Order: sequence, then structure tokens, then C-alpha cells
Amino acid sequence: MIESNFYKKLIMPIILSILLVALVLLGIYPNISMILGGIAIFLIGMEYMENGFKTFSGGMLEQVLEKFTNTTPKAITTGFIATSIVQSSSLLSVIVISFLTAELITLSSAIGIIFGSNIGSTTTAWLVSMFGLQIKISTYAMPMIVMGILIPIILKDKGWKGIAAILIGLGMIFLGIGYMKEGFETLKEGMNLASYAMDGYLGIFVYVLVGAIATIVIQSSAATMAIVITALATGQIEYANALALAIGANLGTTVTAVIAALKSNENGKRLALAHFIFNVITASVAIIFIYQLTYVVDFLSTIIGIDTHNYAMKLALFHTLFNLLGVIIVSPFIKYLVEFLNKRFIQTSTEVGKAKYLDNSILSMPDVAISAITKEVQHLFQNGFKIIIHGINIKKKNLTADMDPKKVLLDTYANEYIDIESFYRYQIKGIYGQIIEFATRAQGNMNDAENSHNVEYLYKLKVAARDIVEAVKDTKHLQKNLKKYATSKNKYLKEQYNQLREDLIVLLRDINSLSSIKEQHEIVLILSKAKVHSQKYDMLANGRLDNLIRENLITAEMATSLMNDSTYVYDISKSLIDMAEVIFVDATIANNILVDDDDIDDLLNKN
Amino acid sequence: MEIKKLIKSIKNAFDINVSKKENKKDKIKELIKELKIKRRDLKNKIKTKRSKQKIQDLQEDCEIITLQIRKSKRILRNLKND
Repeated sequence: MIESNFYKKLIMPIILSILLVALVLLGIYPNISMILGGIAIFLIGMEYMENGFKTFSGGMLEQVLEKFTNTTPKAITTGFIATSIVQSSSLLSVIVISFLTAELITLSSAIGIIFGSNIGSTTTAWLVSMFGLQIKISTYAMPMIVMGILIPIILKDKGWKGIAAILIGLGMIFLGIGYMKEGFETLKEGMNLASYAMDGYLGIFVYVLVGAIATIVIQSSAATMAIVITALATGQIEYANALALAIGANLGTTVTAVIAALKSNENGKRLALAHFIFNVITASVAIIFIYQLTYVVDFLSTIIGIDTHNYAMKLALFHTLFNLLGVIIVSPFIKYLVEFLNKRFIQTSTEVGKAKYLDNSILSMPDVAISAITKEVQHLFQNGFKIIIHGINIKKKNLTADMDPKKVLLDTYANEYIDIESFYRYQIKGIYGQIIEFATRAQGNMNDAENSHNVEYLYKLKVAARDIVEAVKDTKHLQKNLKKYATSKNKYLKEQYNQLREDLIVLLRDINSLSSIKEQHEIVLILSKAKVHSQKYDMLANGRLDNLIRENLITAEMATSLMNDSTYVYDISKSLIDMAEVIFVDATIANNILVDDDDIDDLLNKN
Repeated sequence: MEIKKLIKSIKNAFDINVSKKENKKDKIKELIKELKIKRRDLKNKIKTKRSKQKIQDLQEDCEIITLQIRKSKRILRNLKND
């Protein structure tokens, strides 16, 4: 269940293999062939349903999972509702892993969603037992499939295409169940599988094992449950053994997840182990208390009006009940589980020069991809910020502390200025390249009108990343003369260069403060003030320069250097302010919201 | 009239572009409101200060807020005209 890409790669070969075996057995055992054909159709139906919901929800599922999972009860409820509607725990798990990688949700939220999803996946059993076995397949399944085929021909809208795929999926699921049921019914005439029934705990263990193996082979606990329910409804297996098979199906999905997680990253491994622990505990409790649970099922069945002999629905109730019990038992310990998992799988620190949040699995989810790129640009900014600070030879801790800029200047970072070029190549260039590549690939999935705002914002993010790169490069140019004139014997020149560094300190301090500010008006105000000040400093620098030249206090060569360098400081400020508007101001309003250059000119001329 | 309003709001709820625009308008209105409160607080603060430099700095902040409010109102007007 956990590594959906792994599952996706396997599912088609599995369906084809099942169909191949069905074809081979067609002449010898037509009943078994029919059951196998039913399983294959059921699995194809599940695929259609999953893809249909993906298309129909158009990113809504991702938004819900991101926003309504901040507490464990919310995460469990969201996981349960989402899986019940989408009927695909694998779709949910791939989104959850992507969110974890992009750090959009915490590990405890992810575990909560997976727990909820486990309960949600039991609704398949309800669907099969309530409708699948009672609806006349030929009456409902076929029209559903036909409608699913016709809708996209008539209605071109993306949402309708999704609904069409859901209809085809649902129709195929019912059709698959129909074939399985028919297969089991005719099989009964020649072979009675119920004669292999086993009593007591030996029977429970054997059937748990059979259920687990069946799920590992067909890679779908929903399909296993469909087989078990249809076999139970046709009297091919006994109720007690069917309960054990349901427990086995739960365990089987975990084995698949653990195998898949071996190839996954730390987040995938943590989540797979959490799921494994949860399912093992749940299965153990269900096995130990199987007889007590059967009584509870009987008791609840009479309350909710399930017929005493409707074993298919009783099995569905049992499936939900023991998963619910598992969640009640394990969820109070999620905090400790997270601590254990974090210790067990230590995140290998991402190389400084590599992207942290860009994972290919989120490329197809526009909103999530945008969030990840925004985070990555912030990551790039953190690296660039450090290079700029150290590049002008000041300490980061002094900048973040409320220290007088003049004192910050005196406490230098190192005896010699750092080599910005090598830091740029190591900490900026790679991430910048990865952002541009990822953004371009993500844009490929945003071709529809619904995503026009995302495309626009994506462009701004690319420009923001470029602004950071430009700011670092400008600092490199500025540094040349800072190095040369910082120790100059000409005190006027030295003063001017220190003034430039001071101007930058004020700006960098302002921009650094933005990440901890929540109020939008405060962020906008800080940036607009920074914009005004950067223009003011530029004008002042030019004014100061005129005086120095007029009074022969600096040479012509020094004057041109100073003029160029004050332009670099202005450019660095401009790049950082523009970048900050994109990544710190609310995306809804961050479109030239800051004060205009003309307004600033008016203000400065007035003063 | 009320029915017309209701129909419009239902239509807006289903039209992503319209609801996004409305959301933007609301956020800018909120921004202007917050900035005005901030400016009023600063003006009150100026009255309590004695240092010339402090007063000058606060006055400059007020002027920048005024510019920002003006710019935000301009954007809001353009959005309404669209």
C-alpha cells in the first residue's frame, strides 16, 4: 500500500498474468477461469476508479489532505473519509508520501491519515456485500460502463471525464464481482471448497496465512476481500475461516508495503514501518479476541438490522470493527511511534547544494508542486543569504541579534573574505538548476485553464530564484572592492565602503525577519520601507560621492569604483526585495503590491 | 434583487476565476484596513515622543504607509474595473 509507484508498476503485469492463467484454464476448469477473469476485471475497475477520482477532484483531495490533518483525530477522520470516497488507499498513500517529502505535513499526521485510510478501505467490503452481491449485474454494471464510455464523447470537461472513469470503474467492479460469484456458484457443483474448512486456532492461522499470501500475489486487499465475500456468499468457505482470511488480507498489504519501502526514502520507510506495526498489532488483537469479536459482530448486527444469515455483511462489519479497534489501541501511542521511527530511520542530511523538497512524485499535483517549489526557493534564499552575509564579512548571529549595524561591521566573520564563487557553485547553482528543471516539468501538467494562476505564480517563483542568484553574483562583484578598500589608507573611502555594508546589513536584517512574521500588512510594510530606503541610500551614496570628488578627497578611479559598487548594493537590495515579495507575501496579493518607484521618487523629492 | 444577488454568489462560487478575484479584493481590503490601523497607532505614538529623530522616523513610516495604502487602493480600483 505504501509505495504506490511500486504497486502501479506491478498491477498491470498481475492483471495480465491472471488473464493468461484464466485463458489457459478455460478449457479445463471454466469455473476457475471465470473467477480469475472476475478478479482481473475487478482490479481494472479499481484502477479506473482511482484515476477517475484523481481527474474529478482536480487537486481538491491534495488540498483537503494538506489542510485538515493538523491533529491526529482530524488526520484519522480525513484519511477515513478520503479513502471511503476514493476507494483507493494506494492513491492516498502516494499523496501522503509526497507531502512528507515536501514537508507539507508531519510524520504524525501522515500516520494518522494511513490509520484512517485503513478503516476507510474496509468500505470496499461493505460496497461488495451490500450492492455487489445484490445488484443484478446485467441490469446495472453494463449501463454504467456504456455511460462511462459515452460521457467523454459528449462532454469534454475534465470533471465529466473523471465521472466517466468512476462509472466505468464501478461498473467493472460490479461486473468482476458478478463473474466471481457465478464462478463460485458453478464451482460448487463440481468441487466444494467448504470441505477444506478448518476449526479452532489452527484453522485461523492457516486461513490468515492464505489471506496474506493471496493479497501479496494479487497486490490488492480489496480484491482479496471481494473474493472472500463472494466465496462466503456462495457457501464455498465457512464464516469463521472468512474472518481469518480478512485478517490475512490486512497483513498481506503490509508485507507488500515493507518490500516496496526497501527502495523508498526515509519517509517512505518510516510510514511503511508504522503501517506494518499497526497492522501486526491489529491482526494480533483480532486473532486473540476473534471469538469475542464474533460475538460483538453478532450483537451489533442485530442492532443495525443485518440478517443473522447474511455472513457477507457480517464479515464487512468484522473487517471494519477490528480495524477500528486497531486505531483505538495504537493511535494514543502515535507520538512515541514517531519518536521511535525518527530514531530508527535517521534522515541523511541533504547535501547543502541539493534540492530538499523537489520530489518527482509530486510533479502531477500542481498545487503541491507549487508549495514544494516555494519551499525550495526559500531554501535557496537561506543559502544565498548566508553567502551574502559572509561575503560582506559579517556574522549571521550578529545580524539576527538586535545589534547596532556599526558594531556588526566591527565583528568580522573571518580574517579573509570568503570565496563567493566557490560557495555559489556549491550551494546555489545546483539548487537553482533543479528548481528551473522541476518548475518546467511541473508546468507540463498545468496546461488547462484551471491552472493559469499556477502557471503565472510558477513564473514568479522562477524569477524569484533568479533574483537570489543575481544578488549573490552582485555581492561577488561588490566584494572585490570591499576587499581592496576595506583596509584603504584613505579614511573617506573606507568610510563609504563601510556605509555600503551598513546599508546592506539593515536590508538583510529586515528580509531575514520576514520568515517569522505572520501579519501580511507588516510584511508588506517592511518590504515597502526597504524599497524606499534602498532608493534613498542610492541617492545619498551618489550625493556623498559628488562631495568627495568636488573636495578631492578620493581619486577618479576610487570614485568610479564607489559609483559601481553603490549600484551593486542597490541591485542586491532590489533583487532581494522582489524575491521576498514573491515568497513571503500572500500569493493572492503578491503582484506588484509594494509601493511604486514613482511614488518613492515623489516622497524623496518632497523631503 | 435578492434572488439576483443569490444567483450571482452561487455563480461566483462555481467560477474559480471569479472567486479568486473576489478573494484578492477581500485580502487587499483587509490589508488597507490593517495599514490604516497601523498608521493611526503610529500617529498616536508620535504625540508621545520628544526626540526629534524618533518623531522624524515615525513620520517617515506614516508617509510610507500612506503610499502603500494609495498603491493598494489603486490595485483595488483596477480589479473592480476589470
